[in-house]
Amino acid sequence: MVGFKRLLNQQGFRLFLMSSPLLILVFVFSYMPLYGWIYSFYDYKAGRDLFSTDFVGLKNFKMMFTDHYAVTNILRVMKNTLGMSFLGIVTSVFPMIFAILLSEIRNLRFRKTIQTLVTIPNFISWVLVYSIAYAMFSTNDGLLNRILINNGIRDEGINFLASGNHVWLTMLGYGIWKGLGWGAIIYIAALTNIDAEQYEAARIDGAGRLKMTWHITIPGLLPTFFVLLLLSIGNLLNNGMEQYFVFQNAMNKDSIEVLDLYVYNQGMVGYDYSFATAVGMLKSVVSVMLLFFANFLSKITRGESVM
Amino acid sequence: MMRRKVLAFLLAGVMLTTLAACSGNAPNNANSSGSPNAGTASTNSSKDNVELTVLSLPGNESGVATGWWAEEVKKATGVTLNFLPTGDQGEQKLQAMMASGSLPDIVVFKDYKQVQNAVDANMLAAYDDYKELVPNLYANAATSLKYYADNLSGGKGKSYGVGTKIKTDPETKGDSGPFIRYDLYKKVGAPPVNTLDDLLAVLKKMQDAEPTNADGQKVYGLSIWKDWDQSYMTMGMFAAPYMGSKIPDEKSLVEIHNVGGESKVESILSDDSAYMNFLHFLYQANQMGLLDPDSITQRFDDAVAKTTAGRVLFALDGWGTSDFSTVERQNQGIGFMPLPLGYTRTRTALQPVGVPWTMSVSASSKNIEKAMEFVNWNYSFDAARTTENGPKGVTWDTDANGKPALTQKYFDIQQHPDDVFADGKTYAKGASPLNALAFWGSSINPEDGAAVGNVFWDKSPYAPADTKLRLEWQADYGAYDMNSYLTKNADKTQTETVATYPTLSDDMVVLSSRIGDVVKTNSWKMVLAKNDAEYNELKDKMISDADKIGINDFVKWYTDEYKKAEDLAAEYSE
Repeated sequence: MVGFKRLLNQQGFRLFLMSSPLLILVFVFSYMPLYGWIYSFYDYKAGRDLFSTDFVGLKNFKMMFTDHYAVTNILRVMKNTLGMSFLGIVTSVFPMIFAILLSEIRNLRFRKTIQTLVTIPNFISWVLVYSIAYAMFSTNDGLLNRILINNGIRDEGINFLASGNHVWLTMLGYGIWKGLGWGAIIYIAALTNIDAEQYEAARIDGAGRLKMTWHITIPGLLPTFFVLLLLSIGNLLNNGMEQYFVFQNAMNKDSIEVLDLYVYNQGMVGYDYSFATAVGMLKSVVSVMLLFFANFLSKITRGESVM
Repeated sequence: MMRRKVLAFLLAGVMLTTLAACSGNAPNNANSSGSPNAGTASTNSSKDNVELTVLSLPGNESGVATGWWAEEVKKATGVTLNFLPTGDQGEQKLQAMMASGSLPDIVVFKDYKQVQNAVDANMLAAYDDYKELVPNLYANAATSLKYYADNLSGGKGKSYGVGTKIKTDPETKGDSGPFIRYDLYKKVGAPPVNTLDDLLAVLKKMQDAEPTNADGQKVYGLSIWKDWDQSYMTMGMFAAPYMGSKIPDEKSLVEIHNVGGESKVESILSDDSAYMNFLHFLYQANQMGLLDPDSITQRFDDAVAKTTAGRVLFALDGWGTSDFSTVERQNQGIGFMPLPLGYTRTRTALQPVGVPWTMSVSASSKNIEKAMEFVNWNYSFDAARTTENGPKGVTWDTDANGKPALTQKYFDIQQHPDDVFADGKTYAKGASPLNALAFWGSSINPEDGAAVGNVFWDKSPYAPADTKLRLEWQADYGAYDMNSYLTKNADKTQTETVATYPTLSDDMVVLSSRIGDVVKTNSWKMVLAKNDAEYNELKDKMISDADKIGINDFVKWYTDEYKKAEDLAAEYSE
């Protein structure tokens, strides 16, 4: 007991104790699910006890690399996943730009209105976003096609939703429409933290608005940007399914199917849980790749890295 | 300082206990989560109203059922049914529930494989264990129960499910699809429609005659959807019988042809299969501007709404057609009527076992007795008649001879379909969302010798005359309705040898799904192809990819199993 008290008086141990709940959380929610990987070694059928199904060893992994059909599909969905992930990363500066532009608006009421309008889509589920998209873009009754036809620009409506062209870009568009305002909130908060004296000093030195933005605002927001970038990279692959799931159809499936959606399609639609689990493990590979990329980016632009 | 230390400890302690509680409870939750009505269950006595959760894969509506049918169910059994949404995600929802280890109180499966899986996982209650609660079931569906006990119990010899739409008498009356906007068909001269090409030509003329509906919305020859697609474009399954073959279910990639009592199983992708012909028909329809371009992106409900609004000229089945061709419209000569194509028609055999849509009760239900009571009610002839024809004593009743007869009220409703019942819902809106009628309309109740569906009943003396549209049709085809026409022209029909199908093995389900991924994607692409070259290229790719993945293995497996099913069927045909 005396030993424990002495231990408790040590700074390091106290810190450890305080952080241990969080460590346990991480263990429970990030490491325990790894137990699920065991499903990839069995011929699992929904409803039955795992250990009553056949142990198949590395069969599903072999299939991933040897079955021609599986290999081409996995390469295709990896391309889609990485392609759309990188597009997402490239456009992750948009919320920052939007926040800066917003802060330049002098009329407070106008600024608040804009900010509210742009933030609302974040709270709309992807299923509803699809309904809105259907109302806007369907060939028969879609608003856009109605306008085109009524004004004599086109005889027949364009089937936007069933087109395989530019799917990555349209998906990115929906994503930006939905997430821009929400993403900007934290930058708006960060903006208020930039020391006003810096601006004053710059103004005395004769800097214009553009110069102030370039030399004060952007450097002031960059740390936030990189933290968010790393966070978003972690989440990009986790949350990557819903949107593509509601928008998928035969015409765009080739380019829209990302890894998460492929795993869902194989497991839930295709009744092949074990193979889906094996493919799902690939996600970890992609995540690690992306994380290193972001870390590298942080290193060359700011000279600091997280890892 | 001391206080801070205590606080930190407390915090850590609280978090630890919460976590422990979480993981400790997890397995229990998994077992009970299938019954969201657990709250009402605990205070349940047999008189109280009980809410049961239903997953009906053939159903299309969700939420707590209301309307006259729900009232009848409540009155008879004290049960309120809460339908889980299925729509185009029913199969996946079922998979997720299977993996979680429990099913909702009542499940209506869509194929035998799903039943088999649930039985293997011990997730269904056996009717045999509740015999005294389900006397109607044993009296009226004994053959079906035996089939399930013999073939779908994993060797346990108990019935864990029962077939629906049990058909013990041939349908000699009634209408069956496909349906065409008959007024417009007559308007363009009613040319004979023997082939799909004839159909395209006539639909084109009809569309030109009426390019928009009364509201100025564009009219299409055909409007379809992908909601029910599993291993191929499911619309093909509905089209196949009109062209002389039969695709057994949404996972089976075969067509069965029955000629002269002999059956032949072949791949749906073989040359000149009904499926491939139908795909080409859709492609041409799209080229001619007849196919609704939203077909690939819309949902079932959207398409039905279009049919109801008079924006669709041809439908493979009755979806939304009767909502458009009301008695009022028909008396003006407007509406849908069935169109016999020139092909030999495949008619289903008698189905003493019922169709593979299977009604089961979950083993994890908190209210198994109540669920059994509902099933028992559903399998009484009175209930089947109510579900099919409306509430007894309102829209139909037994007459002086003890036979069922439609009441004046029924015909009033036909004239005024928008009138609402006391609960605020119209007759049509208050109908059963279950879509799992126990008996086919032609099946006869042994007690009174009359059928379930009112088309087979004696005509009431006060029944209004047939509509103008119906009379026109009768004059054109020399028969009362479509089924009488088919019965009369028996040389143009063939009947399946059996109505029971093999249960897919696990391997075959996975194989079917992998092939299906290729087939359904390319099928839709073919339909929307820009020109013949693209169509043929996609077709070749689809066939060669399906070959590579192993469609021939599937067809071979199915052929063997179908032969066995045919031998087995003899045991179950009364």
